[in-house]
Amino acid sequence: MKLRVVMTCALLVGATSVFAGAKQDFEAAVKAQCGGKNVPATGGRQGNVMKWKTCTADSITIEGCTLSCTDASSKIGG
Amino acid sequence: MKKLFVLGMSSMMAVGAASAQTLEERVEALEFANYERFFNWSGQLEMRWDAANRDNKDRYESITDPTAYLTDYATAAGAGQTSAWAAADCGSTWTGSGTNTKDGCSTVGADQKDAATLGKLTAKIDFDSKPSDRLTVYGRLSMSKYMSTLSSSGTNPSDAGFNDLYNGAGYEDKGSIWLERAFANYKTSDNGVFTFGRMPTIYGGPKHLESNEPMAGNYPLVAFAGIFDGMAYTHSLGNGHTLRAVYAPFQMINFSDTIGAQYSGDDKLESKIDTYTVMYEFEKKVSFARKMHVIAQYFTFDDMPFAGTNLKLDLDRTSVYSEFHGIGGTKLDVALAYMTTVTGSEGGITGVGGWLTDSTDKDEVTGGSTTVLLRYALSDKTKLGAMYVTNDKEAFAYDSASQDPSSPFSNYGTSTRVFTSHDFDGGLKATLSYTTMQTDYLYQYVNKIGSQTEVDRKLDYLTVKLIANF
Repeated sequence: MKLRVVMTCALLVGATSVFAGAKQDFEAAVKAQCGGKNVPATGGRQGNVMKWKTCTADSITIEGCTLSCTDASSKIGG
Repeated sequence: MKKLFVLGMSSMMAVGAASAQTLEERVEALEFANYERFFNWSGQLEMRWDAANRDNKDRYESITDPTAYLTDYATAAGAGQTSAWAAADCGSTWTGSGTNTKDGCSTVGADQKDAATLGKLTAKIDFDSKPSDRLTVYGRLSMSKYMSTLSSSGTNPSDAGFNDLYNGAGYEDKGSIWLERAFANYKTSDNGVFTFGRMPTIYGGPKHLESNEPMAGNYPLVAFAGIFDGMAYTHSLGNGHTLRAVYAPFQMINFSDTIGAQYSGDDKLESKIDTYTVMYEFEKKVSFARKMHVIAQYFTFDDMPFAGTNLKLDLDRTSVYSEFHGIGGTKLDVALAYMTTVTGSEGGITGVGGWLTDSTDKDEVTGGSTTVLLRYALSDKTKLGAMYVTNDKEAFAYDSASQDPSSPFSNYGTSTRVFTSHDFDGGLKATLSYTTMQTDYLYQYVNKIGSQTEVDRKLDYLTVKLIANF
């Protein structure tokens, strides 16, 4: 039982840290491309971070900020 | 005891961190983790229709098999029938006896008009994995085919040389799945990444602009459209500037003896030659555009042999590709590309010639290519644009992974395309384009070797694509 609790907590922390990386990428993109605009890095499936990360057009406009979408699998060095 | 203490502290820290979140945040984090898990799959399915019309003003004969073609010519010369042979269309008899067929070539007659509607499917299954903060692996399984092919004739390009440069993009492959790309990026420092594998070097710009996608390949079409296996080092200089060096070998394998050499007569052929590329890339928001993306590239190799002959190719390609999105705060996007090639040929195919020359002596020619593309966003989801491409008759115009009926980037003449794309809600995309190509010159064999002939060929094609991203 204790092991399950520890594993669950570790998973939550791990999941949070994964989100943190994408969230930082999103915030950096907003700062670089829409400096001055406040676009919240909301998580979840319908959140802004996921909208940008799964974008299949060459850009996406989120709350008035137009961000370029990228495909790391099409770039040498990511 | 120490281990128990450390485990206890770790658990407390984990519980503490987790309890600091609201339940909603935890659900969001878990949901996100589901998308960001260790191994991810995604992909694209494309159905495409091309309705093409070709109007050929002049009779033209292209060689498809030099050995068969020249053997047939020798037979005609021995019988004193070279005039009859030259006048005959490929595939027809030239002696009147019905026993000698003109082989190894295809003929397009004067004022011949052809038309075809072709249905095609392409599926791309992408995967990626990030086993550590330093290492990321990307791959793509690709399949391209003509729809429901009952039979086929002619020479299958998939059986010919150079097909390794476009595996997965050739429609003749009848549903075969190819590994189009598979490469690993390893962060060597905060600014450096070492890459090795089968790299993402086809489908480069400006192709993605026509279908309103992120850039889908790192080598612009004018730089070199082929899949390269090799290694690279990418160094970020900061502020949007990147330098990259790529090494990729071309190999000529003797399957009968992979260690033993191949010979053409007494000439020993190289089994491997080295290609080198240096790239400068800049990608950033600038004062006059929402995004500016520039790729300047130099690509070179020497002494590439042509199997079974003493023909060798030296190639230097220098290109600059640039795209500007949202110029001056408007909805206008522009892409510009220029490429120049220096093609060196030595030796040749007897009776045909060398690379971009009818001579088998050492020869060198220089040519260029220019591309201009304009695109306007009618809305966030609908884009409308036009592209103009022109290639000099002495450019090494090459686009091996093109999925068009004929590529503007390998055409010796001018091409104009108008296109529109629309992104539907939920991951579906549709594109419509109309291309008109004027061909002014053709080379006799694979449109790169032998004599250059002036022609007047017009090709128009209407293309409709349905694309599902998943």
